[in-house]
Order: sequence, then C-alpha cells, then structure tokens
Amino acid sequence: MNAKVSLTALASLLALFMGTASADPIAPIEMKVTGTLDMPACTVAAVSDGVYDYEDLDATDIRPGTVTHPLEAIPKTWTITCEGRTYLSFNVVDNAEGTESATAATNFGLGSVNTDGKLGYFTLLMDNAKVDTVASHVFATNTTSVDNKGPSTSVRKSGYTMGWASTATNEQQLGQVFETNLTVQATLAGSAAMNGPITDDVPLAGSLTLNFAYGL
Amino acid sequence: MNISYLQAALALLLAGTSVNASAAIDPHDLEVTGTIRTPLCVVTADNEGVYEYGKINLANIPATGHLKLPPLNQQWVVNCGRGVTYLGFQVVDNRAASASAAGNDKFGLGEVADAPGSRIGYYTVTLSGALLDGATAYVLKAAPGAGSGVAATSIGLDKTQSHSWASMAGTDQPPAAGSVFSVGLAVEGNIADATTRGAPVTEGTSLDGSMTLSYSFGL
Repeated sequence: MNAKVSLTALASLLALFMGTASADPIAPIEMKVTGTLDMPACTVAAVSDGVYDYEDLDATDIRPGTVTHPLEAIPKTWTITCEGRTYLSFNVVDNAEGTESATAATNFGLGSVNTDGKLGYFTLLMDNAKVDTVASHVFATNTTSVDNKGPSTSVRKSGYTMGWASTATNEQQLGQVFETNLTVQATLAGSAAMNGPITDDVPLAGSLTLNFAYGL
Repeated sequence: MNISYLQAALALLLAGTSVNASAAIDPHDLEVTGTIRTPLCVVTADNEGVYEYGKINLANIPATGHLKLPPLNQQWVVNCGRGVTYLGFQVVDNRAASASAAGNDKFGLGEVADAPGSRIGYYTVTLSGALLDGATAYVLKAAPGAGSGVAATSIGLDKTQSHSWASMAGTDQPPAAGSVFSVGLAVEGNIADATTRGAPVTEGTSLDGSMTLSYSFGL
C-alpha cells in the first residue's frame, strides 16, 4: 500500500518533472502556409508590332459615287505568352470610331477625308488560332457564355469579348501561349461617302486598342 | 457566422485580384495605315486661260436684249504624267452678282466702273472636243460626289455640277480614268442692253469675267 502510495507519488513527481521540462527555453517554431493569389503576367507580341500597312494606293482605288472597293486582306500573327496557365480574352476599342463608312459591330473606322467624309472601314478576322501549339477554336461573345465559336470569328466592338475556346466544348481554353491570326480587310468607300473627290494625298488612319484580360 | 465573414473576405480578395489582373497585360494597338497617293498634275490653258474679246462696238448693243458675241474656244489640258486617275473640276463664278441673266450656266461679266450693282452682261461656257490620253472622249457632267452623270460630245458648264471625262456617251455614265485630260472651253459673251446694265457705259468700259476652276481626283 505504502509502496503503491510512493509509486503514485513518484509518478506525480515524474509528471511534475516532465511538466517542468516542457517549460525549458526552447524557441517556439512557427508553422507557415504561404503562396500568392496572383495572375500570371502575359506579354503580347504581334508581327510588325500590329501595324497593317497598305502602303501606296492610287487615286483610282477610290471608286466614283457609292461603289466601294475592297482592298487585299493582310494577315498577321499575334502571340500572347503568359508565365503560367490561364484563361485569356480581349476586347477592342476603335480609336477611329465614327469614321467607318458602314456601321456594324464588325466594322472599324479608317479615318476621315474632306472634313467629315469617311474613308471606309476595315474588318478583323480571328483564325488559325492555337493554344500551347495545339489548334484551337475562337469565339466572340457579348454574354457570359462562349458564343460565335468556331475555327474563325469576326472581331467585334460594342461590348464583345473575343478569346480562345475548346474545339470540342463551349468552354474557354486554358493555356500558356495563345496564338491567332488577325487578318485586316480594309474597304475604301466611294467618293460619295468621302464627301466628294479627294484633292490631295490622304492617309489611312485605322486604329484599335486590344485590351487583354484573364477569363471572360 | 465566422465562416460567412471568411467567405466575404475571400470574395473581396478575388474581386481585388481580378481587377488587378487586367492591369498585368499591357494593351496593344493595331494600326491600319497606308496612303492614297494623288498624282502631280499640271494644268495648261491656251492664252493662260484669258479669253480676249478685244473691242466691242457699243453701237451693236440692242435696245432690249443682249448682244451675242462670237464664241471663243480655247483648249485646256491637265497632264498627270504617268499617274492614272479620275479627274473632275468644278467652277466658282467670281463675278456672280454681275450676271445680267440668271442660271447655273450663266456667269457675270463684271460691273461698270464706279457703278456698283450694274451688270455688263453674262457669258456661258460650252465644253467639247474632250480627249482622254489622246483618244476621243465625252464630256461628263454630274453632281459632285456622284458615281455617274450625263456624258455627251458637248455640254454646258454648270456652276452646281462637277465636270469630268467619260469613255461613252449617254445618261448614267461613270467617269473614265486616264493621265492626260484635254477639253475645249468655248466662252460665249452676251452684252446686256442699257436698261438691264443699270449704268451708262463710257469708252473703255472693260469686260471683267472671272471664274475659278478647282480640280479634284474624281467627280
């Protein structure tokens, strides 16, 4: 009984001792969980830095009256390279808005002539798209779903967003390197839309700003 | 309760990152450039565009109506070198107020000196003998900026219209392109009678018609 008691006492003592031991000055170790909620940076590169140059056109390229004159199409490859995998989309702002001789979400201005005469318009086709070197579909939507999806789509302004989509499903394509052809097709207006004939050299002045974003 | 606070905070954080996200990609411009080049053209006119009637006998002016003067036809050539273009011209009558008869085809001959508001007469201009790169062509008259108009061998100059060259005669004809444009401009003067003129004439009263031809590369 006594032995039992002393054993209990010893156990208590041990417990007391061990309790003292845990109070020893060992520096506490902090556990951390880290990481960053961030978006991968992307860089945009375009052939000729995105300049589509029709160079020298003749005065006779402007047809009399209301006859319009489509010029040759100029394709250029755009590549957006991101640091990590992401969804990618873009919208466009027409910096020459209001100078397009035919109004549509797909038509962008070419600048003015004869005060407020309209030189014409250009369209922009998105095709031959790839995501991480694999052929991809493209889309243009003004809703929250992937609309106008296919191997090619017309770039649109007026609240539309363009992007890369899965070939199989109506979903945005996840990837790191996004490629697409953007083909400019300019159309010169007739002399009537230009407020009459020209009397001097006239520069074409089409200009869009492409604003890229992650996701839709 | 705590959980929903956490969700709210997380949602806020995500919203914050998605706003920052678009700033991570620099926008890129797309430019469509080029220049519609117009050729350098040189205009030459017989007698440098001066139509000289010389002396007109006052005695021939009728009591009523106009004394019709003989037409003076002179050639005008616009040479655009090797450039191929459409060419058109419009005219402005610098003596419009002095025309003694009204009409888009009638141009003023000026006022009698020291008699503001007087009208010596008017003249008309007939276009004919058009050549395009040396080949026979037709004179075209159309509304400015129009795609086509009336083409004929001879057409009256109209101060409201644009004038050009066409390869075929008829209505609804388009302008024709070329490098060397020539046409005859025949002036026909008409001297008004004393009543219409509104001022007596003395010896040496000068005819003073003047118009400006403005050329453009199209109708």
